[in-house]
Amino acid sequence: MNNLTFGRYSPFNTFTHKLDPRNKIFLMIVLFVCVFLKVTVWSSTLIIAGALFLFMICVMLISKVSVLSLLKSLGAMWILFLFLLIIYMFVPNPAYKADHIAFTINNYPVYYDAFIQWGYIVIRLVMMLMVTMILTSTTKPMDLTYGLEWYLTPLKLVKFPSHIVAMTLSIALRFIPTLIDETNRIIKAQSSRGVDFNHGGIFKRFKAIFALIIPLFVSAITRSEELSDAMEARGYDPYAKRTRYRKLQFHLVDLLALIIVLLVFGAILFLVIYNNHVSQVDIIYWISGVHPII
Amino acid sequence: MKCVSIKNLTYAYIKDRPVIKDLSLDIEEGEYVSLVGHNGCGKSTLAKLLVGLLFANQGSIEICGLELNSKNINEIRKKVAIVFQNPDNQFIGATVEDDIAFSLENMCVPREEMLTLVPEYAKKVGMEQFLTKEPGYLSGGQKQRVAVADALIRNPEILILDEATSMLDPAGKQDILNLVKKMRSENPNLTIISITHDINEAYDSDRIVLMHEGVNVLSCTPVELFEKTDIISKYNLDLPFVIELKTKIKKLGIDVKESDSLETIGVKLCK
Repeated sequence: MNNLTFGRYSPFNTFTHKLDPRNKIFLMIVLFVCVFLKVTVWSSTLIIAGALFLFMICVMLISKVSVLSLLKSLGAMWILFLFLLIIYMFVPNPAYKADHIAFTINNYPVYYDAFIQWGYIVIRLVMMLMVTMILTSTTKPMDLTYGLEWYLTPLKLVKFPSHIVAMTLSIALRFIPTLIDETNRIIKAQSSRGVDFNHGGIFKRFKAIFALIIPLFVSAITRSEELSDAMEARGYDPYAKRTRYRKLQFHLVDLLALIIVLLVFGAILFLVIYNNHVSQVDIIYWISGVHPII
Repeated sequence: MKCVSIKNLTYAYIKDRPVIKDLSLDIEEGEYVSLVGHNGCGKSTLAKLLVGLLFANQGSIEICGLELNSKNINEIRKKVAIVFQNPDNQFIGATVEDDIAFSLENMCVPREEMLTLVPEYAKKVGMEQFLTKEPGYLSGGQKQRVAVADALIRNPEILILDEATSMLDPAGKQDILNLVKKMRSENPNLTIISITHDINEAYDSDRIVLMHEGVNVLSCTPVELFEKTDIISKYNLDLPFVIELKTKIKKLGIDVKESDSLETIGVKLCK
């Protein structure tokens, strides 16, 4: 229960930490779009992806996001990558060119293109993971909620209760550590009464989990009831007007970050449009004057 | 002036099994009243009725001249603040400052005012260094101090402590009790209703109300209560440390009066 390390907020005071959460959410979406833009010529796509990758590594280093925890979460994804590789290798695709056979297994051809396709997907997944990690480890969960609430505000016009959703989210986030503590306590209490969580077959363990889940739910419900009492007693009315203690502010650094990311986005977009609609010349040829091998 | 006036109050969670039976009680402004009694005698239910979390089946509650009903519940909640037992389950904000500001947000206090009020009240409860801390990094006593700050920031006329110290360690408990004393000296008009199992805590109050099975059996000053040995043995109450000390000294043949303070007893002992 204690190894929820992926993208956990780390309290530093870097450039990225100082950004407005609303801005960070927007930039995250822009970077996602960048990651998924595809050029018809594969070599250009890989070069763009590589440049983007370098950019993200820089951002990670600036924001002091631990590269180790990125590697750890990648380590946890190796099965997915392997699975994708197998799929790309063995599922026939009409787009693969007949003369691109890399090798054959029992007369079944495996194409170079399969590896290239696989490369696209893997690098995209890694970059998405990186962007998400940068966001969550430089932004307090609560600030993320405030940011999300701001994006949901227009929905108030159609009577969507964005402030209630935000309050619910923030309380849920507030209680995660409390419930983790509670879970550990129940595990200890039940172990001392003879429940074995670590041994036995799947069925036995599944049964043991019940000894954890039921008390956890009961206590969570009691807690929520007390919490709602406390909130009500302090005058909380979800439908009444409230003032805000927290205020999100768009600073100069936000503008700077926005400009940088939009420049990256613009550059990539230009390359993509140029490659897809104006000329199919690929970047390697531009730079070196030599056509790539394939 | 009467601050709380409860008349013939009856409340039942399950029909025909009332937890509070025909209870009447008056509390004066500025009074410090302790509600004592065994588990299940209806103390906490009474507290919930007083802040309008529950509504009475019969009888009425008047708070500062206003009758409590679902219409003026918001008015009444501005006058009554409550601190519950479990420090974890009443910590709503993500950090100390957010939690202290929660009530102010509900009362639509402008942000500029909040920015000065929140640190001021955090300082009052000695939590000014912890403003940006999350509840996971605080002890039970610290969380409870935040809850007290949140109750005080609403500037209530009545403060209810519903076993506010029972889940704390002795140091945390003493912190809260000292805080209550300080509040009373700063604002003598603040009425305090304290629900407690700790007889030593109740001994410090102006008046003790003893409840048993939903009825208030007795309402008198602590000194008067602990003279009534028949009631004490009937309801199985503990004796406060001071009283116990006095009876033991009396057995030694030294003449001490109920009204003597610990200092005078010390002087008499030294003779």
